Amino acid sequence: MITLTRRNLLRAGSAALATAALPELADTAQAAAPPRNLIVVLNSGGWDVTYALDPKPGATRIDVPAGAQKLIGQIDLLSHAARPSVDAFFQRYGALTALIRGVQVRSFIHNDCTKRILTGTPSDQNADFAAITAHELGRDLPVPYLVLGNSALSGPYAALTGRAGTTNQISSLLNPDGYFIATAPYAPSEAEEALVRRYLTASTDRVASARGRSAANRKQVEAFSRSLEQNALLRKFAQTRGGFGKPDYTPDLKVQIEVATTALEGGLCHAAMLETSGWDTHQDNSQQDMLHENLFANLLLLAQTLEQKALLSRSVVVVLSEMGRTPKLNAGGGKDHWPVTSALVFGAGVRGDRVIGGTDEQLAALSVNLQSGAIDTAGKQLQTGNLAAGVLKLVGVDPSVHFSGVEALDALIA
Amino acid sequence: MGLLAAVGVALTSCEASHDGEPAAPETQTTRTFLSPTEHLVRVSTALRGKRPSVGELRRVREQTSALPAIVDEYLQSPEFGETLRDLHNESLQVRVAAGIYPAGFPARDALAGYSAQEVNVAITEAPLRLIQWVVEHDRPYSEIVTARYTVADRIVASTWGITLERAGDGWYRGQYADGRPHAGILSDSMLFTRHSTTYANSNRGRANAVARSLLCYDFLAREISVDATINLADPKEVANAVRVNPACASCHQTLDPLASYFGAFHPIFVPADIQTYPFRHYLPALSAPFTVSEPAYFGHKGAGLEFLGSMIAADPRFSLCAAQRFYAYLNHVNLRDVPRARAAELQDIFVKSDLSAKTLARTIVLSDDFRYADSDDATETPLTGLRKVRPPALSRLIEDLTGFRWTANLDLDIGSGNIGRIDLLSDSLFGFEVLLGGIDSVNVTLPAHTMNASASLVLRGIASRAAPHVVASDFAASGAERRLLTVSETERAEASIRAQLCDLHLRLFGEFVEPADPRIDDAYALFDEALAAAGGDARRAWTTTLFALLQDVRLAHF
Repeated sequence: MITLTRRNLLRAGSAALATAALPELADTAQAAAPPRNLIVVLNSGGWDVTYALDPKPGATRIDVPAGAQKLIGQIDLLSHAARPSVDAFFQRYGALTALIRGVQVRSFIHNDCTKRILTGTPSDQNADFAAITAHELGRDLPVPYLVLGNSALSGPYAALTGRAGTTNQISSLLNPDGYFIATAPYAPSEAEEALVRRYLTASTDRVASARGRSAANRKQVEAFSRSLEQNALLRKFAQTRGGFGKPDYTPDLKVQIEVATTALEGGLCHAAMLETSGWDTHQDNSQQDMLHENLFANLLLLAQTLEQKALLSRSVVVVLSEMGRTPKLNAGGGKDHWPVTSALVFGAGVRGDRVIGGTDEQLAALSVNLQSGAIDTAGKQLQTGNLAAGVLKLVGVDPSVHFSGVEALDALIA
Repeated sequence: MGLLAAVGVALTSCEASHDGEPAAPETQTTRTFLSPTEHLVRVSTALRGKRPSVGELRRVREQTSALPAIVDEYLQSPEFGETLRDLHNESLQVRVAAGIYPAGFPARDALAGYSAQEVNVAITEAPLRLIQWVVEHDRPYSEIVTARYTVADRIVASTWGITLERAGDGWYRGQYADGRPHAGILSDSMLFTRHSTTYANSNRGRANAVARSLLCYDFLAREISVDATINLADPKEVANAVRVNPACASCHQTLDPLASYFGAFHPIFVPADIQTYPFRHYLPALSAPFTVSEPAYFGHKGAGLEFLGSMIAADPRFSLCAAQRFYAYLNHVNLRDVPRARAAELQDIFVKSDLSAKTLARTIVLSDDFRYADSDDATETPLTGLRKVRPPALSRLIEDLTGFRWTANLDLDIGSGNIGRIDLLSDSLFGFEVLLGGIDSVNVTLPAHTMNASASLVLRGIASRAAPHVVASDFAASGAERRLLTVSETERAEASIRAQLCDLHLRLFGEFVEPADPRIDDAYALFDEALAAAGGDARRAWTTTLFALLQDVRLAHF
């Protein structure tokens, strides 16, 4: 017998909405946290949330940008002609999107905030939630965690991480043609490759037998053994799917989107970290206009590409920045660091078309009910750990394993 | 085949291995340790990024007591100097790729004629070179913060205006000509280019960089609740809050006085914009506006970098932090996992040796922790018995074994002049250092100590180049000039091939094996079948064999 609860009604409702808007998602409406891919888009430097995500028109204690508050579905945004892609994104994908405000980072130093927003903890020895996702759900894939930006923190899951490199130099290892390094003078034939592989496997097995009693040693040997398989699969991926594309400056988000979605589609990875930069507008905060416009144009591209590749129904995208910006402008017309930020989560399983949490007229984080997402003075300030745990739950990972005692942001989950 | 038996606390025994060294019975403890020759391989790779020579391996095999003397030789080697630089870069984070800010010093004016890579490698390594100099010349380690000199080469001297004691191509002692006080790396311009500041920050970032790297004291490790009523964009409000707001003052009461020592260094600039050298980096006139407090070292008032250096040198946290960092680096553990009791023991030894970094390194590499091989102890030790070779070390190791160094000549100018030739395993922008598990000192600041897909690709990449290189060069060379292959290209006799493979195992892995050993059976099968697959082309077969051996888990780890 089905118990009719508000949650069920909401889930059914959102499924129906999703079905109407995006036929691709129909099959997932009743799934209980199936494993989902994860893409993280980190916008390094600190975005000014008042430019779109946390509008404060008329606020007297905040230097607000130009624009008008606009409601798209149930999400209020700051809208302006200079940032049309923000509107376009929410109009198209708002139903799948949860907008989270008032994430308390508890720092305002870039690298410190980055580790907190990504790992949900104050330690850079811990893994970020994308690495955790890759470990829990995709460890048998060739490159479970694909890092296309710079700021990923793999922690104990370094063995599962593959980095493309700042100039996509991994592509030169897969196909040196067109890159600056000379092609290797030796390339094994299929028969030679098999012989080499047999030898390396035997050697590794022998070392495992002799030195693999401790968990640490086993981990090293297993990582090496797995890396041989991953290596082979990566090369095959490059041959059959065109690999990681041309050597290019991977900080371009379009390049990262192409590489990441191709990798997900090809079963190469389970989680990917993308990154943009330039958000640290200590001088001339008006640059946030162009930054927001570019970001949301690319988020549109990302969502559309995922849709086209039939990935959106089994993927979650988390868009965030490690910090916010001060409510007031400084003497240079810029804004400085602020320990409260916002985040966007869209995709499969997201309780979309809503805002979770909030900030006050001074951009301080308000207390929130982590189950409902509603502002609640009896609730708690939303911490990075709550967000990380909530995302893990959303993608199908039990957060209690990695965030023991931390309450997850259940409000994210449909 | 096994490795060795454990050494018990109550039992004395010799270490045993299958390769003929004195055997010992299994003891009641669960930890096992490396044999003397395995230990030598680990020491050599950790301290120098090279395998021991065959002669050294034989010496230790015949007489285990020869190991400490060999360690002492290693500590005098130039390769140990490179290791020292790499070790300290993990904390100071100054070695930045030529095309990444805050590097990008242009090869123009006085530096025209150099490549951008040469210029930026020299400049970014300068503080590490000073530390190397102090250690190599057996000076007390504290001199890294008290030295009344700096260390530079011609590039660095031209960049900052340094008068060198000697002319020549190497690194020499010198003096900044701009009148700045000298206090080791605390006076170094690259350190304070990498760790820059803004007016609002007022050198606090620099102060934390110094505290974190030299005292293992990280202000950012504290949890804080930021008072949102403070307008952080208003310098006056911030200035007030750091004094009177308890959450802010808890750090700033110590941080701000420490920051005051660095006010005279240029706050922030884009190196690529430099038009002429030397670049004026030390600007005492900036001290007042960029300083928010009277200088003091954790409550001890005193002015000047020399005072700061003396206080750091006398601070017990300095020697403890050094002990922790050396232990962590050499044992491949996280800093926070260094056993406290062990760190305290090492600190004591370090201090009693008058802060001899060589003594510290020697003590660590001759200790049981370092010799640790394996364990089935349920209470896990943070130690690993298999340690992945670091990227710069892998580059040296492969070159030493095969004569091949993986470089590329980049005919690219990204704003600082033609990049020029780069070592692909020691560069993070165009090269593979980060893919191999290294750091780039800006974005990727923690090394990865396990193999993964991208690291495996890099290892394969270098093997596919080093193998044909050494095969071609060895077959073209006469006996004494050969590096790995002593057998002739036409040799087919199984006994000779097996003997060659035994030699390769010794040279590449430091393993003494007999021709009938299963490891040689596998290697021989590889060669024999590769020969068949190559239609009898022995050169090709040896290339395939070495291509495999250079990717072996025993080469990538130690």
